[in-house]
Amino acid sequence: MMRLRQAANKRTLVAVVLLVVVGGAILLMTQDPTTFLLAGIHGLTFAALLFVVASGFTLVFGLMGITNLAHGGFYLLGGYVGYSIAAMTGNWPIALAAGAVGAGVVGLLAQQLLLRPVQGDEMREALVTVGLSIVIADQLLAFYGGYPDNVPLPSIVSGALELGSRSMRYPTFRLAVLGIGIIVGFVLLVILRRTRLGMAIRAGVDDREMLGAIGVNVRMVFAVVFLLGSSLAGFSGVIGGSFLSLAPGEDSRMLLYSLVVVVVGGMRSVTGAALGALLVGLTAEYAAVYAPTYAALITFGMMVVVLIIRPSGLLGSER
Amino acid sequence: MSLKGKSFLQRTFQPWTIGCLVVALLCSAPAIVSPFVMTEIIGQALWFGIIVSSFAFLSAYCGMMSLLQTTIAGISGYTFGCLATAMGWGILPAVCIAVLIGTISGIVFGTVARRSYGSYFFMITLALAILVYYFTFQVQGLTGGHAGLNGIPRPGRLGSTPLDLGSSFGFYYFSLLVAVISYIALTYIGRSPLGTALRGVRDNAERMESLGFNVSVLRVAGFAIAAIFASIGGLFSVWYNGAVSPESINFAEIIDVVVAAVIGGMYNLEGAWVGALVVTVLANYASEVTGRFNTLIGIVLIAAVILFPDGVAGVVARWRQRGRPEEHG
Amino acid sequence: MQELIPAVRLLGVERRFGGVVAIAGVDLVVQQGERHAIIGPNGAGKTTLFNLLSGKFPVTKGRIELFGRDVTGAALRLRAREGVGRTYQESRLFEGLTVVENLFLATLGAAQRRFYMRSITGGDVESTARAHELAEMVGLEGRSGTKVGALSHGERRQLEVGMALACHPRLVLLDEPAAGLSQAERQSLTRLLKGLDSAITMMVIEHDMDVAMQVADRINVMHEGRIVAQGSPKEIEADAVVHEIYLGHRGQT
Repeated sequence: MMRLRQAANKRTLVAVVLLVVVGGAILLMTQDPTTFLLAGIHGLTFAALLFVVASGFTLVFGLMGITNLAHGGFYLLGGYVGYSIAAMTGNWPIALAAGAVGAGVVGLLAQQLLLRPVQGDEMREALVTVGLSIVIADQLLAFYGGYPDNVPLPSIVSGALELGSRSMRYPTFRLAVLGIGIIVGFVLLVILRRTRLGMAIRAGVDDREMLGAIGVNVRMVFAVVFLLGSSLAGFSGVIGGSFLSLAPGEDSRMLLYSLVVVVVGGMRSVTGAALGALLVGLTAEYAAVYAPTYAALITFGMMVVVLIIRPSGLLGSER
Repeated sequence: MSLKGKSFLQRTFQPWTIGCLVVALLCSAPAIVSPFVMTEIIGQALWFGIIVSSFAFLSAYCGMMSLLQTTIAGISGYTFGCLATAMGWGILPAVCIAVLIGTISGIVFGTVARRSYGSYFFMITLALAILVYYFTFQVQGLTGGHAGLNGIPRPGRLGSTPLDLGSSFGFYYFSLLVAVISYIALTYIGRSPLGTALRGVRDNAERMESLGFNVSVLRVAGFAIAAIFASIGGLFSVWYNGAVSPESINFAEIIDVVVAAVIGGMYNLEGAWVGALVVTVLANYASEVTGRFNTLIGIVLIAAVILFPDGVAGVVARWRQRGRPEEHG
Repeated sequence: MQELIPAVRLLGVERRFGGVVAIAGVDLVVQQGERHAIIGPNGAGKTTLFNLLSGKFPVTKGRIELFGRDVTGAALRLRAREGVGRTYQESRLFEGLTVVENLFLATLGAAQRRFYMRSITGGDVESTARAHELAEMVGLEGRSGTKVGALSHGERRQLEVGMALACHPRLVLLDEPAAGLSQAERQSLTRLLKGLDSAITMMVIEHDMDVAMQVADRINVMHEGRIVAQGSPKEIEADAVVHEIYLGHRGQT
């Protein structure tokens, strides 16, 4: 009896929330369509960035159970590496690759040297990543200083595009980010669904202990996934550094966003990360436009609310 | 606990003797060390240790690694600051309300997080801590926003006695007294039936449910107890600094507590004060060794987690186990 | 009339996990004071049945009554208060606590009000005494101060039984209590179970036929989520259907 009532209560709560959100959206849209639409596109493009960042976090958490609190650090590290390489070569795609590789290598080293000794103990793993995040942030501060930096964009994408018939101009690069986000999502899905590695990852997310039992080289898979996760962070760092900024504090910001995305969307799946990124990106942008003082509260409040209702995220399985 | 089969050293250094020795040492510290060390190092470690002990209590007895202890301390500090400065309340009533508000926040947080375990619990406490951090910027009227609250008064003369809690000696002994009381109180609670039940929840929450215990209530109760002590520690923090601001509860401050607990030993209470001392020493003297204090803290944390998961207290405990008949499988 | 209220009544109970049917329709009545054994090959649904009885998860269909009360929707905690004690196949003990502390908690669980009143003032003499009494009952008084992590497998099983008995249960559910025990340990377990208060209703899942046959008045044979045979130990021994089930599964226990 009680369980049924609990389930019904949750459903009514979700329905009410949806009603409020949709109602509010319609209201705001009719009031000022241009602002609403602009904020929407901003939200979508930001969501694309968040997706790329959060997907790396979710892969590592889903498969290895590691709450990688240094993920933001890898983001910033990749971004700064890209910045330096862009300054040296003037070539954005190379900077992008360098950022991904740089963060990936550091991540792999960290995983092999620091995380393997404490493998299996979730709390100790999380604490090691905390220490790592502190060290990375401090070293980046020492190396690059406290002033915000920016990765310069290639001229093709640094302009603005005309959108629709209202002669609305929108930065081309942000649209490019949206495209990149979709491509990354597609690539990840292909890896997960069509490759042997992907199969191992999906099986491991489901049941970590079984993975070794069925003959998969767990050490190799873990190393590859961590490498992938930190590379994605570094990759997104260069992108974010191009239209947002690189500065001390961005690492915490992106880490926190990753956490919210992953919690809201479901902690163990890439599709969940996409859903979460969409929700968080849109919420963050709309809140920034319509309720700027409460933006942070709303975004993190969402995370808290989801964790209360479903302690393992919206799409996550009950564990 | 029989004393047979132990070396002389092990027999002499039973917990009680060590405890009394330590307290005696601390009481005589002002006569031995410089005023700077007394106030800045030992004194600070004493009250900081109270906050760390609230973290250690949760992690050791309840199996919950909560990043909210600094936040709760901050809430208590802010409440006191607000009441004592802007509203001109007396010290004693402000103290009572501050601890009350801090404990209530702890209950609220505990209720929110009560169904989460492990990494999820860790994450939700982090999210809540960040939320409160941003919140302190919003409610400018109460918290003074960005700038925080300043000019927060310390307790002064105790009634008509010559005891001045505001003086450096007075504050030191005050911190020592409250720290000792906190340690005794938490240890006592840990050994009570409630403590046993909390440890049961730590070891196997589902079994506790099937035995008939209300696990949610127990977890919230554990959180509330920890919140009392975090609130007390928070008071000392604002008395010591005379001020409080959002940066008192930022990520770095939260981590300091975690580092202290890890170094001292996350699975027991004594370690809390040991860890607090180490962190305080590092904070004060690290700048002479290296300009990058944070990197040092980070490295220390990583090393402690990998090499000494039980912290200093764990190393000591294992030393004391030598020579005892094998009680482990 | 007290005697006629059955201890356990399962009516048309079904449990599905996604597409898998774990319990396919079970009707069972256990009278108070009866000793039932549930046997059957692995995967027959025995532990799932216990889980449904103790409230770990709800039924997909059907009704469960304990001592005349409909408990179909009730939570785990409340079933315990009805007087149900249970052991688990995989030992679920409190690793960091001593034997006495484990039993102490098991005793307290049922005495909620006393727990909350005395929880901080400590020194609950009655419960501590009972914990020691239970330790003695299951043969663990020599190890009462030992942490569970240091116990042998057999000792852990003994503690499990003690935990189940702690709350003065009216119904005891024992899930393979003899698993992994040596011959001598099995004999003392059988003695313990046979010597239990006759008012206690007992349901035992066992693979060990000796233990099951000795301890139980009635045997229920489960196969693929249903009870396929029921009867006294002698009747079951002679039953052809049971033989068929077990012939095909010999060597898997």
